[in-house]
Amino acid sequence: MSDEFEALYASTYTAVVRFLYRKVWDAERAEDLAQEVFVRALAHRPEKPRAWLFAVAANLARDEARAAVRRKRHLTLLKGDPVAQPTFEPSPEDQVERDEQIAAVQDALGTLTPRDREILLLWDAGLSYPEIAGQTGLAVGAVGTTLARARKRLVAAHGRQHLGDHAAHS
Amino acid sequence: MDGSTWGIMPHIPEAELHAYLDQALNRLRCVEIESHLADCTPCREARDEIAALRDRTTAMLARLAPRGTLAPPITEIRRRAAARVFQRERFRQRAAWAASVLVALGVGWGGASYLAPVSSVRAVAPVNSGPATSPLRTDGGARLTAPSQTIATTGPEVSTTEPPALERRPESMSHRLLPHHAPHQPTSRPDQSGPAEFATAGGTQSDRQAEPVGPWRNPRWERAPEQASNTAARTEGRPGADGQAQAGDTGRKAMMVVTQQLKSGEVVRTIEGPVSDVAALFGTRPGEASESSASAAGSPGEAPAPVGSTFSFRHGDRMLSAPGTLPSDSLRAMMRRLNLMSRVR
Repeated sequence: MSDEFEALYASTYTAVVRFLYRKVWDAERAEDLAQEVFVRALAHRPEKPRAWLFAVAANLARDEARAAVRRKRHLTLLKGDPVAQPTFEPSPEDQVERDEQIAAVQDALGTLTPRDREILLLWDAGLSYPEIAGQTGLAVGAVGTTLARARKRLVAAHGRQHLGDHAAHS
Repeated sequence: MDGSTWGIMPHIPEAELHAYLDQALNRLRCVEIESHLADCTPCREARDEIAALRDRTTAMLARLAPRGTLAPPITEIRRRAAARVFQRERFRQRAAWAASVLVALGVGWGGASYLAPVSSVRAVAPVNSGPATSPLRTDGGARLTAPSQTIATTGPEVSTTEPPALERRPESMSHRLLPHHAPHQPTSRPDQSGPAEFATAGGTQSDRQAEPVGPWRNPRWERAPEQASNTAARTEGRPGADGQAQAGDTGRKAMMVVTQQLKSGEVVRTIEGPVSDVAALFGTRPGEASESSASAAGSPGEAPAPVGSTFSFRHGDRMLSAPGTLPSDSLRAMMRRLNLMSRVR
């Protein structure tokens, strides 16, 4: 169990952090919550740890979202987060472009319905269709349909963002 | 090629192509789809579009990832988990302890509520029903007789069938010399036609009416002088543990009973009041007390005269008695106080 947990921790930690980051939009908070998820996993010893990890992570992120203070920080971080922790110092131009790209994706993701967004993020976190179905309550066969819809809507919304930006610049 | 010309298998649904690219299908279905794709150009084009959409979605989401994520050591996670388990266990232990205390309190309260009425009845019942010559044990071991008045003690150990006994318990001061009268009960004072009223030092008249007759539940020395007299006899230098007063007739001062504890641990009680009342309380004939008061050397008061083991002083119509053994300095102090009282009168 110890070795299994270590392997799970090594292979899943980054995915859990990324999954949480896309919900709370705070890198430090996402890491804190991810560590909390693994601490709880050690205490509970779930039978299906991988699906359990993301289920708990989703619950923690939901709790975070309910806090009003959380929302305020969210708005602040929308402007300055991932760029606030770069591993290298980009040029100011690159920095601005990168900020715009991130904001465009965030806005596009925000146009999805909560269920579509949840399933898209779970898939991107590496969960299988049956695991996604088990966590969201969907039928396994409906996961593909939902994913297809979510991907198309995300890309379409992102395209509209680009068109709007170009129109604004021109 | 479309589904109608292909014949055997229609075009692959879009959702299934997503599942195929996401590797969410079993191996058999994957073989079927790949066979179809080999001969169906529209499905191949659809697959390529979906693959591009999938890759683009993945690339977009990849931008929404914190940079430089580094997992902390697994030991840190284990340490936090162990601390969490320890805290949970400690909380459980404290909760169990608190619950046991609450249960104990509940049992104690319930038991006290169940037993309290029995205790009060046992303490009250025997006081006036004893024989005329009830032997009373004082702190000094003297045996007094109380032919007409009564002396009650508090505590459930007083038997309902035996004469009331005043046992020595100096450490708790739980036994108290208590002239026992109900507020509405007539007394046996020979020089008093009306009913006498006892005033306890701890409560108002209405409180006393509500209390059962017998035990003195909340005596306080601080209020005792208010009930009777500020010149109540007592051993100087020692705090009063109890004070109890019996109101007299109009124009007469009350009979006062003061209980104190000496440094040695002995409980001393002094009773001061009308000669007839005090004498009756201790079974002393007024004549005996007056005879013993003749030799007060150089003093307007009276000399101490033991009656059994009870010291008595008499001045005029007032008498002071102290059952048991009193220190000599206390005796002198009492005599001075009595003399002072006589001058005041």
